Amino acid sequence: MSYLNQPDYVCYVCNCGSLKPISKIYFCRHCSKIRCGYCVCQEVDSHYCPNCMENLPSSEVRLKKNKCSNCFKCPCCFQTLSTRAGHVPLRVVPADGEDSKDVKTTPKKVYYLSCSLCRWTSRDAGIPDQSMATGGWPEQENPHTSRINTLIDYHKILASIEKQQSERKKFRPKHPYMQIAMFRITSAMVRKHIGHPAKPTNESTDQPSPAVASTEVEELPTDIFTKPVEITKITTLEQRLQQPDVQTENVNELRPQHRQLLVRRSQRCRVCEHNLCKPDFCSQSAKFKIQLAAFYHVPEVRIVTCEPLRPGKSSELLLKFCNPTQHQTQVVLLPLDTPMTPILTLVDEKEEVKQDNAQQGSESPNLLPSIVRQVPVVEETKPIKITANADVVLPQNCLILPRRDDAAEYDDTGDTHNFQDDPKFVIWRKGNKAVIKLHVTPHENIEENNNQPVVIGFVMQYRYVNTITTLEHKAPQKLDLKVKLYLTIGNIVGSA
Amino acid sequence: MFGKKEWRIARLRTLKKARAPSFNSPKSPRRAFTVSPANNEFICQSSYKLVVKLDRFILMLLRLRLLCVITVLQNRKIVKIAVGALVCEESILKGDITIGPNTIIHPKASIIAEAGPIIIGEGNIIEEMATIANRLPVDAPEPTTIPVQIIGSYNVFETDCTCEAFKVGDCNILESKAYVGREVELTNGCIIGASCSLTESDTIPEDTIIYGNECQRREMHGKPYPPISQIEFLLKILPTYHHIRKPNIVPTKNEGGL
Amino acid sequence: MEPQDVYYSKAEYVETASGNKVSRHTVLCGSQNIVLHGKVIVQSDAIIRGDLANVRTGRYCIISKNAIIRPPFKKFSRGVAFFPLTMGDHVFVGERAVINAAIVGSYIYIGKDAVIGRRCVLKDCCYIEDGAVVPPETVIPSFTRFAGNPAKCVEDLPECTLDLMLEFTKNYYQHFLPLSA
Repeated sequence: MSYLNQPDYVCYVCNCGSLKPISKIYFCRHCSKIRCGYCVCQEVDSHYCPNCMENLPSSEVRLKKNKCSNCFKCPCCFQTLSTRAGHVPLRVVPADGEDSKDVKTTPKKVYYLSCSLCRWTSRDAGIPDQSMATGGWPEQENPHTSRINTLIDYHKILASIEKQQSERKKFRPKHPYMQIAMFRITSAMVRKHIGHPAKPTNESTDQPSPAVASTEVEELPTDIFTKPVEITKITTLEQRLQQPDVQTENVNELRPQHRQLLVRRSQRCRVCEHNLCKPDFCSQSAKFKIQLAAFYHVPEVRIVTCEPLRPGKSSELLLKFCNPTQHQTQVVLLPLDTPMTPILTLVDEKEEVKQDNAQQGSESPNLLPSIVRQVPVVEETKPIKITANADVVLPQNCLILPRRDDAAEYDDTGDTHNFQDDPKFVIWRKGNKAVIKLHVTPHENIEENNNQPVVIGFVMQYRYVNTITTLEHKAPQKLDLKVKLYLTIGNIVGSA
Repeated sequence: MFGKKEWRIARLRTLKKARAPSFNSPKSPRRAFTVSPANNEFICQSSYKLVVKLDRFILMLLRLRLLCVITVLQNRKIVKIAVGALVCEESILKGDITIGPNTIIHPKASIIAEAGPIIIGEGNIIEEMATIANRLPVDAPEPTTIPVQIIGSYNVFETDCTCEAFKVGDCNILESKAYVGREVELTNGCIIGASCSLTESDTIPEDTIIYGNECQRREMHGKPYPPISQIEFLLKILPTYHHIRKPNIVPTKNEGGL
Repeated sequence: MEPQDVYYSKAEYVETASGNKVSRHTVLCGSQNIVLHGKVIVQSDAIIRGDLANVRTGRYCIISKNAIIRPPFKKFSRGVAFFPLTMGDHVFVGERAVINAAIVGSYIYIGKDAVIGRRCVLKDCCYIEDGAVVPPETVIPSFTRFAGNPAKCVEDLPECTLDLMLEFTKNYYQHFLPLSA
């Protein structure tokens, strides 16, 4: 929760060098590495309308220009418009000879759009009420449509001419018989082979009249200085720019715009091209098909409390470690300058260590064929921009965290694990969580007035069980993975 | 029985006796002890104690009488609820308030008439945690006349809004957490959006809508609908769940409000 | 940072069999229409209007002080009726928030002084910042953070929001302890 509304106190260092809290990083199981938002490929998974939550396939999205056809945006305050029903008595035209008093009026339902925030209605813009609840709203005509269309058509012709010219240059028939014997022969290819010119295009290649720049600007009306300005009737800049094709000045001419679609993203590791996070197809559900967030694979570190910090003096720091995986893990804290290579721990797999080390740099065998793959753009490693300004006394013993057990909260029999914990090191333990005590000494040269936060750093080595079974490894691998952490524990209080 | 006048006379007499230093001969039988010119305070200690006690008793009686007078006076400033209005028992009403017919006051709504009476028209809906207050700002001078806050008809005061405006017209809507200060005057058909606060002295023209962070305004074509159907619905269901204050007939008789 | 224990006076709160902790100073109108599913905390001075329509909350919901939960009304052709308000599990409602929404999903955080307009629909795993005003009839999609007046989407939430909210509400409930003596 604190990851949502508090500043980032505990930052993990990703392989590219950026510092992120654990909620924003992913863990690639194939590379066994941490990936942050910069190291993943963001891909569009599906498009949906934020109002009606309707999923649209990507082909339709292009046709509709990324806009929902049913939902409208208020031109005044940019909130969603809702359809309201009103009653209009419908007068039936009396037949000849009948008295108009005998005419019956039947109430008919008419619909109009209305904004619930600023109470703008479609009647304000002069749009007539519709008899259907959805659809049927007149589309706003772009006054420059014809000019734009002629320009687009002209440029399409130019593009096709250029394409033909470039193909003519490339195409040198070396074996004319071979060409004819090919299975797919189009009339254009035959024409080229024979040497006839290309089929004349039907469209006239008249250039549309180019836009002429003129230095004359139309004169301002004379009453601009005398007429009182009605602020409420003039559109604001933001309202105008939401309708770039029309850009009206009067509030009466504002028309509702279609609501733009939102996108659901999926993330893919840039190195091994595996999906890290893939949401469910339905836009309304909060579930994921694939979810490899680091929150579920890497032990989480949280600051519980810290004694007031004074430069040069040692203070106690309590950290809470939580094991989110289904396997027991061992956590060892190492100093910052430890090299960051993972170590395999199982003895019988030692001969495959070298193979693994070579393979981890390259792709894993479960890859898609190379035709589908694009060239991965790997993020360059950035230097880490944070420096630790306090020393931490790292404990020698390792911390064993049991596996995560969801049923344990209903079971009151207590922990069945009997860990021989050093009581000065491990203060509290429950389920898959434990609180340890560390001693922190801020450096002497920190000044109190700087308001510089005290930062400590260490490398956490944890045992990770990789449950992906590949062709080489039948049994789940056990790896000791390392991750660098930087913790902002507070400000200096008082002097030494 | 001794009336207050008699008690006062008795008190004065004992005081006179106690305090008057007697330079007569010590044979005077009225004095309880000798006069010592140095310590005049000790002269009448015992009788003075009696006097003090009597004094206090009389003062207490006087205070009681004053209190009775005050409560009677205050009971005259009761809440006058017209027939057809629905005032929930859990609402907080303080001071001289007149509530018109068909007005609905939800529980936990507060109407505080500190500086003067409040007159509320008909068909209003005052939702929970809404505050309608007639109070003077802290540093304002004492007004010459008692300020009367007048609220028109068919207004809606949504949850947690605050209205200190002096004059409110008809068919206005104050949305949740809106604040209208004392100097503002609301005419008819205004809608003050959620969390908007109006503090400066201003008269809001008719049919204005105020919305957004920066209290932007726009004019609305047509008035907002009076919430008649909601009033009817609430008049039906609220009595089944809440205790309602009984209406007392306005304005000729001043009976004790319940 | 870890949340600290919050203590309440035992006399003030009523604990039901299903683990709901309801303060005595709340105003629960129409309590027969209010269903608190279990392990729900309703703090003092909160108002839940069950008299207007049914109100259902899920498990592990936290309704802070002075919050107002009020079903919205809807105008039909034949009159006006109040819609039942359903809240999902693991919802945190901040202090002095006004909830007029029609459907509130699960795993939602509503900040303090927020105003949720009438007939809004809040999908799962969204976050409403403090002081945000959501206009009536808006649909707030999943994994978005809304702030401002009128509320606009400012950020996307991380994918593990579901578990973060789950842990937060469970932790809050476990740390909400009676003051002994």
